[in-house]
Amino acid sequence: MNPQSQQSQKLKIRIVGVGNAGVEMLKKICAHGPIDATIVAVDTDLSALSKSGVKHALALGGEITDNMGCGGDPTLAKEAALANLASLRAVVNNADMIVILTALGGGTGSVVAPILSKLAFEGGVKCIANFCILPLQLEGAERVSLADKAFKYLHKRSNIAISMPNDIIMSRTGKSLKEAYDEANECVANAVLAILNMISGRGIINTDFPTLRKIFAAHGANSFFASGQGFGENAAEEAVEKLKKCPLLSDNIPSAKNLLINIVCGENMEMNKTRALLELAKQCFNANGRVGYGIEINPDFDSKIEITAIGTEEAPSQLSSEPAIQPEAAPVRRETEQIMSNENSLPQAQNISESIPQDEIQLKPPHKRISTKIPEDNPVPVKNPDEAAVFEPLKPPQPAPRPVTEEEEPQRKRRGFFGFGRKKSEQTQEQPVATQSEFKFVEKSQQRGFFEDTPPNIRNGEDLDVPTFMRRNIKINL
Amino acid sequence: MSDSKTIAALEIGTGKMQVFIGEIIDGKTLNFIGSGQATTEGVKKADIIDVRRAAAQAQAAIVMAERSTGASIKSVCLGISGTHIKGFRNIGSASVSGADAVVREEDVERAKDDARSKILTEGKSYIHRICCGYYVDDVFTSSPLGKTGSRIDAEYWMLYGDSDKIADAIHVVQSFGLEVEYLVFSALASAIAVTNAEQKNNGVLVVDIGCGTSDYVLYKYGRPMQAGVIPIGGDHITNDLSYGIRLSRANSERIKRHCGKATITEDERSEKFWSFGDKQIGDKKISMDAINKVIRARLEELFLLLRDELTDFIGNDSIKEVVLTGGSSNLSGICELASAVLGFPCSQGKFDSSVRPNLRHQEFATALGLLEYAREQESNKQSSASIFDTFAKIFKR
Amino acid sequence: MAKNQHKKPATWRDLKDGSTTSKRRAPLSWRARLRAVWIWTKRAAAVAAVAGLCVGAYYLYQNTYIEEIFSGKTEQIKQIEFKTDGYITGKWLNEFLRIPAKSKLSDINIFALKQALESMGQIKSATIERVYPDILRILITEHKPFMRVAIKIDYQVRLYAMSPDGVFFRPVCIPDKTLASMPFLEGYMPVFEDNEPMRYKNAERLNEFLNISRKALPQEAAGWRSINVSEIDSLTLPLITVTRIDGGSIIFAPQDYEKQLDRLEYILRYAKEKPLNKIERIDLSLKDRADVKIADQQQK
Repeated sequence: MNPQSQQSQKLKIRIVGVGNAGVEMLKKICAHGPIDATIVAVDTDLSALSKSGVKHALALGGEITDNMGCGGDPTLAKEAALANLASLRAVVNNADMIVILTALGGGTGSVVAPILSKLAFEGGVKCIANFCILPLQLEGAERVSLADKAFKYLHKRSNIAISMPNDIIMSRTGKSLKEAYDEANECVANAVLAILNMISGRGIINTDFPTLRKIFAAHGANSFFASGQGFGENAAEEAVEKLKKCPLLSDNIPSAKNLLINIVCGENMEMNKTRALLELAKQCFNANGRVGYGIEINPDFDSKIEITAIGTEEAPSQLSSEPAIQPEAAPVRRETEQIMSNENSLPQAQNISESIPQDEIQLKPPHKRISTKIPEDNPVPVKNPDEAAVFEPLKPPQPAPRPVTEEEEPQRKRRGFFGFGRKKSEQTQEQPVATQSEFKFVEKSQQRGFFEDTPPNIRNGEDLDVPTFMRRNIKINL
Repeated sequence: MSDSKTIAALEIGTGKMQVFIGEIIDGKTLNFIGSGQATTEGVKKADIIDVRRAAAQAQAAIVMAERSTGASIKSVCLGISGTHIKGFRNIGSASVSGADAVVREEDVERAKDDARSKILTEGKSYIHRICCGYYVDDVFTSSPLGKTGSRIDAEYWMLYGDSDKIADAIHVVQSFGLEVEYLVFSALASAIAVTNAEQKNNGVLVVDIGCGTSDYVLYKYGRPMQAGVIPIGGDHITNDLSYGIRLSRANSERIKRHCGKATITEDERSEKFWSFGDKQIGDKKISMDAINKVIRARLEELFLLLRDELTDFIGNDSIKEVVLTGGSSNLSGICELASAVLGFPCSQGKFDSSVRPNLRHQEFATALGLLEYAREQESNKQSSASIFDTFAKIFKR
Repeated sequence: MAKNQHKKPATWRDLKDGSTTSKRRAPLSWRARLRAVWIWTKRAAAVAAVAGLCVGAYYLYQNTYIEEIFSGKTEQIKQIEFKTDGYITGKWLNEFLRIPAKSKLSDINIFALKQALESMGQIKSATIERVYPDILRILITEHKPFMRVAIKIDYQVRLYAMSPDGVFFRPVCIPDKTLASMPFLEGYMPVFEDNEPMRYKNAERLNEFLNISRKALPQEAAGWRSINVSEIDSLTLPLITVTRIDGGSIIFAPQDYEKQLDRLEYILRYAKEKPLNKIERIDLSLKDRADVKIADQQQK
């Protein structure tokens, strides 16, 4: 009883091709032979469906579209979808993983694929993958914008959303149109198969479905997909080169956050070469998050090596969220009872699995150090009450309106915000200097006391600030 | 929804900054909703000498008041005083234009304009121009309309002060983002608070003896006849005491409040008591007689100066009584002293019955009067704010 | 009593308003500064809130792609927009469609409605759209009738109307006066196939004939009660016979209507000037002449 195959048997994967192009892609997948997934074709064009040869086919629209396709009209597609909402739901229900293949911009694909994604999300499907072909720029602004909108919508609601702009296919000159399109479809078909193989359990080293889920846990991450093949002597390097140049990458190698690499090689492949290869691939994408990989041996591949890589792109904002994800790594590793059966690769695996918990351990001591500081702070505030106690006895003599002063003093001190320094110097300098200069003449007896710094209060030849009893020469007997 | 306006009354006094917040509903009712207080700094003899410190304290008081109510203040009724404030009488005249020699409104207006438009010297600005009354052919009357005569004179009491000092006071408020809606001479405000209409009609002299200055206003026939400032206040008494009894200022203040008397009996003369708590100078005995002499000298001087200012009105039976208010009026025996010097019955101000018990203190007279003044002005206003005004106010905020 | 009144005296209000704004509002203390900062923050927040609302609305608008389908957001139908180029009224449409009052936009089966509407012969085509969130839009084009036909079906005689493209249909919502102004079609029985009458190929010619006649002789054409087309397709002698209200008939050849109408005009004018007895028949189909048969008399 192979636990692997049992698992994959329990795994319900559905590959849904929506619209014309989607059904084509399905055909390509079928051509590769039987796979462990259910294939469903969804279209509004009944004749195309019947020609596809796919066993499970859902025709949308019926009378609305006259069974002839919606001709690129999204409103018609919406009607058709609405009419068959229940059957669409049935397509995605009870599946563990859904892979939707479609071409966006037209009617059926742009409308039905997002609907399926949403229904899958509502139906509790654990992993939703979308492979979409985007229209050419010259197909018109309307199609392009519709495709953009649809992709954005898909993007938000799927775990993996990979777009392949038609522009890239067209840029590969030297092939006839049909060949170019064929190749594009083939590319996508390969991608799907690669993923299936990765989790199917047929390889020597496998990632499993939960790992896949964890790697693509978040909805709305930018995903990318690439594959490359190499032959002969330098099969490994060649494969990596081809990987970098894969059209699906749309010309720039993204730096990946999470990465899933699958290698299919012949029996002659040496294990350390494999390790080097994986390292190369990992470096190629600068993966610094979770990296999962699988190795499969295909006896037909002599010296051929095929690498497929699928991952989520590093977005600048995701940097900060990384620490949050790390704690999850521990439970993931425990779930992976899987099969690191190959001893050579074990240390690697262990490195990866250990590195993350180690990071966790490293995080904790700083927290503890910070917490030990706090008790040291406590003695400091204790001093202040003593100081405050010193001031208190002086308070009662002061008259009632004065209590506000006590609050004011500390507040005055904390005015550092707005050019405090200036003000303070002004305060200290102002009083004696400024008003002294206003004195026009000097009084004989300068006994003005409190009113020294104010201008003289002359009335009827007398300075009223000087105490009256002095001016009147009244004797005070104490 | 009744139209309500929240206004703050701010008194920048020498001893304290007092803020009262009131809500004027429909221009008629005044609700007292909050208060704030702070000690004054940078103000001496009711003049602002350090604008920054004064502003800081005034704003502290405003903030305290705002916190006590939760309302946000936008307009302020500001009370002002200071040694720089002086007044003079100005009479403007106009001839009665109508052929029937009946005084009409235009004639009155022309006379008033003539009186009001006296130009001041550079650096001075008017605070109030109070119409005291009218003379129709030299016969005094309060209501000239309808009387016959050839000439009508309007008598004004022009109260003015230094532009700089006034601007400083306004600056204190406006730098906080508030608008000075009314500027009121503090004695006028105090008079509104502590006298009633009957007293004003009969002739009453209200003296607000504050920390820095004593402000006075004379009411007759319901209108202010004269107002002014005597630059002697509670601080002068304290200063005198500290010189006379040789105590620190703080202690002098304490003694003044505690046992200061303006008039004493023979028996009290020989009383002595301890001054204690002043750790610097040490406890000592002080005689009541000494204290009384100092205080009496100062207060006599104050009231004599007051009498000198009011020569026009003393002899001709215009004044029926004297009302004292302000913090320093709490000094025991001051009313007797005032009666003796001025020659009129003197008493402390009595508040209107609508004032709350906890606010019935002479120190609050000015601030309460400011609120009442604001209410009167609001009820006189007939305009309703246009939508544009309300809109503009939103953006001002 | 100084009387220099050239400028107004300075009052405290001048001081208040006089100096520049920045000068008189310069903050004097940290509190004042703080307050000024707070006020500006509030204003900025208000502006930001308004901007945020606009952005949010735009974002929502962008993101209602197919959300509406998941009928969380479709509302009860608030309004049915209805436009037609013919006679059908909203009232009739309401009664015909019988959409329940509280139904949601998403509950409407657009296809069924369209089929139902197009089953009415008078409706040439119907377009039904959902305008999210709560408006149903119905656009109808109709066949416009220009003649009437009485057709006997199952022992019952029913009134049908005919459009210029030959479609026969039961008239709906057409005002009686309009119907009454249309001449009857006689001499042709529409063929029914699957309960639907087949189109009449000569309708266009008749429409052309009537239009020209109405333009040339409006009053005369208004008095035509029926048009008999039994011989219009005759290979030897094609004719159109028009029966007037007063019983007389006019025979036209089914081409070159202008010449025939000219002759007719001449004849009718002549008949008016010289009061004669009732004209029984006018034959305009002859090449060189027109035959006019008057009751009791024949004249060339």
